[in-house]
Amino acid sequence: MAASRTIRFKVAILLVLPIVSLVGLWVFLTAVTVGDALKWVTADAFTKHTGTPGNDYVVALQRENMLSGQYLGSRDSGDLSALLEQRTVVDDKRDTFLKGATRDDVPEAMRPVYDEVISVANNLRSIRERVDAGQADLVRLSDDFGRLPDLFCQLADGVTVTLDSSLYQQAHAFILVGQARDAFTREASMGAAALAAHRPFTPLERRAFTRLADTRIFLIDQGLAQMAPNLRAPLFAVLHSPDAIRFQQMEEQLVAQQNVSQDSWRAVSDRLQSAWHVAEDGSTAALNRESAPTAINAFLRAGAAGLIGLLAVIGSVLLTVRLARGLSRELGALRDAAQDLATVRLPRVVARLKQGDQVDVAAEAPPIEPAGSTEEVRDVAAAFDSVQRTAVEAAVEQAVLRESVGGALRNLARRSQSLVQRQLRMLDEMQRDTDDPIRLDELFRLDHLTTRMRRHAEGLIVLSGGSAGRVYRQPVHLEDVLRAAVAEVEAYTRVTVYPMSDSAVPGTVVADLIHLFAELVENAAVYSPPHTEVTVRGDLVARGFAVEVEDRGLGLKPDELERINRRLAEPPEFNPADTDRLGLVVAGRLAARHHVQVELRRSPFGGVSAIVLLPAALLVKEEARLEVTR
Amino acid sequence: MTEDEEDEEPVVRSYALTRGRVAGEIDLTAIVAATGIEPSHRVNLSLEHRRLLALAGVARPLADVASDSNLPIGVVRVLISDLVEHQMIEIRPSMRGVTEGLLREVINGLRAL
Repeated sequence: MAASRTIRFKVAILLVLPIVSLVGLWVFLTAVTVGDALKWVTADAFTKHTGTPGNDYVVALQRENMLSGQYLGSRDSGDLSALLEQRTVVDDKRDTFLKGATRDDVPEAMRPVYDEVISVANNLRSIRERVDAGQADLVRLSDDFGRLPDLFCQLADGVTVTLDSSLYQQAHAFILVGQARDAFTREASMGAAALAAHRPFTPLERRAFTRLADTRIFLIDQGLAQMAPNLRAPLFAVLHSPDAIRFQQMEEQLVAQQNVSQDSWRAVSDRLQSAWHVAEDGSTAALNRESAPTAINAFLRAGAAGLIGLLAVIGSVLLTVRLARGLSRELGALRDAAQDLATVRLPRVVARLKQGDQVDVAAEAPPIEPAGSTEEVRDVAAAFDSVQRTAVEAAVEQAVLRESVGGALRNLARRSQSLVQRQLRMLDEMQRDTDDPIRLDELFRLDHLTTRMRRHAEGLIVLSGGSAGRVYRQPVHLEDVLRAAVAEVEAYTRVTVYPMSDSAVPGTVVADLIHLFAELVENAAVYSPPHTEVTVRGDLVARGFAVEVEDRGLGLKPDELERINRRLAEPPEFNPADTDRLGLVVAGRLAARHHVQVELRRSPFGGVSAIVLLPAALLVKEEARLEVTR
Repeated sequence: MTEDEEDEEPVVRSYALTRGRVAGEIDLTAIVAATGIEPSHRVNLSLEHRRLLALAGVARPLADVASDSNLPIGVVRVLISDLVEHQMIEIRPSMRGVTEGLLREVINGLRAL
C-alpha cells in the first residue's frame, strides 16, 4: 500500500462509480421519457396554432379553387360575386393562419417546408389576377391552387408525433384522405370550368384531370384502408354515397367527352365537398379524442418513470451512505477499542498485578463490545477478546508464580532469620558470662558474622516482598539505629557515627531502617579504599531527619550516579539475573515502603555521599520520647 | 519477629560498642571514679561512654558500675579504659589484701582514741 487511507475513503471510492452510473442512467431515462412527453406538448401546440387554422385555410382555398374554376368557365356575374365572397373568407382564414402559425412548434427538420407554406400562402395575388383576367389555363390554375394543400400535407405529416405507431398510421391515413380531397376539389374546379365554357377538355387538361381522378381514387383506397373502423365509417359513408357515385360517373363521362350537365356537376361536387369536409372534421375530432389518452399516458409514464427513478436513486444513495457510514463507524469503534486495550487497559492490569494487587480478570478485561452487526467485525472483536484474556491470564499467572516463589523464599529466609536470632541471643548471654578477653574477642567475631548472616536473611525477605520483621517495643534513638546499621557491615571499624541530635523512631520501623542504612553504609565501605574512613552524620532538618553517609572513595561517574538514583527512587521488580548492587535495590524497596528519600551525590572529597531524608511523620513526637530504649 | 515475653535484645551489638576491642585488665573490685575533667572536643564519646561516666560520678567498684549499666563486663572494661585514657576516670586500687587482723587492729586503734 503506497499510502495509508481510511476505510471511509476506500468505501467512498468503491461506491462513487455505481452511484454516478445510476444517477446518469436516471437522468438519461428521464430525459428520454420527458422528451417524448414534450413532443406531445409541441405537437399539440402545433395543431392548435398552425394545424387547425392551416387546415381551415386550405379548405377555404380549395373552395376558392372550385369557385374560380366555375367563374373562369362562365364569366358570370353571379359566380363572380360568390368567388369574391369566398376570397374574403380565404383572406380571413389566411390572416388567422399567419397570425397563429408558430415556427417554434415545428420540428427542426420540417422548418424549410413550413417556410415554404408561409411564402406560398402570401402569394395568392398573382393567381387571382390571372383568374380575374380570364387568362389562367386550367391545368396551371389547378397546379397553383394545389401547391399549398400539398405542402401543408407534407408539413402535417412531418410534424405528426411518431411515438405511437398505430396513432401515426391513423394520422397518416387522414393526410392521405386530405390529399384525396384536394385532388377532388381540383377535379371539380377543372370540370366546372370546362362545363361552364361549354367546351370539352383539351388533351392536356384531360390528362391532368385523369391523373387527378386516379390519384384521388388511389389515395381514398389507401387512406380508408389504413383507418381504424370507427374513424373510417363516416368518411366511408360519404365517399360511397350516391353523390360520390354520381360524381364518379360524371367524371368518367367528362373524360369520355360525353355530355354532362353543368348544373348537376356543380351541385353534386358542392354537396360532396361539404359532406366530405364535415365527415373529415368529425373523424379528425374523434382521432384527437383517441390520441388524448395516449398523450396523458405519455405524461404519466414520464412522470412515473422520473419519480420512481428519482426515488430509486435517492434510496440507493441513502442506503449506500448509511451502509458505508455504519461500516466505517463499526471499524472505527473496533480500532478505538483495540487501541484502548493495547495502550490503557492491558498496561493498567499488568501494572496492578506487578504491585501485587488482586485483579478481577473479568472486571479489568471486559469483552470488547462491537458497535455493529458485521460478522467480520464481530469476529475481530472476539479475536481481540481472546488475545486480551490470554494476555491478562498470562500476567496473572506470572504474578501468582512470582508471588509463590517470593513466598517460598520469604519462608526459607524467615526460618534462617529465626535461627540466627536465637544464636545471637545465645551469644549475648555468653558475652555477659565471660570474663576472658580472648574468649570475648572470639565471641565478638562470631557475633559479627552472625549479625551479617541475619542481615542477608533479612535482605532476602525484603527482596521477596516481606518486611525485616524485628519489632522493638520502645522507640529507638536514631543514633542507635545508625550504630546498629554500621554493626551489620563487614568493615564496621572503618565507619564513624558522629554524635547527633536526639531523635527517635518507633520500634516498628527500626529493623527496616537499620537494614536500609546498613545497605548504604555497606555500599560506601565496599566502594572506598580500606584505609579510608566512612562517616555517618545525622541532624534534624525542617522536613524530618537527614542522614549523610559519606565515603572517601573514587566516586561514581555522573551517569552511573543517575542510574543508581533512578533505581533507588523507583526500585525495579526483583530480577534474579541482575545482582549488580543488589543491596541498593533492597534499600530502594525499604525507602519506598517508608516514604524515605535516598539520593547519592558526589561528595566534596571525591567520594559518594548518600543523603537520606526521614520524613517528620516517621519520627517519634517530642512528648513520646521519654521512654526511649537505651 | 516480636518476642515480647523475652528480654529485648540490645539494638546495638556489644562488639559495635567497643569497635571490636577487648583490651583492658581492670579488676572487678577496682574503684572507678570520674575525675571531673571535661573531654576535649576532639574526643568522640559514645552514648555508652557518657552513661558510664555518669555512673562513675560517685567512686564505686567497677562491678557495680557494670551491673547498673546493663552492659557486658567485657564491654564496660573497654569503655572505662577509653575514659581512663582520656583522663576522665581514674581507677583506685581495690581493697583486696585487707586482712581480718588488720581490720581488728584498726578497730582496736579507733577504740583506744
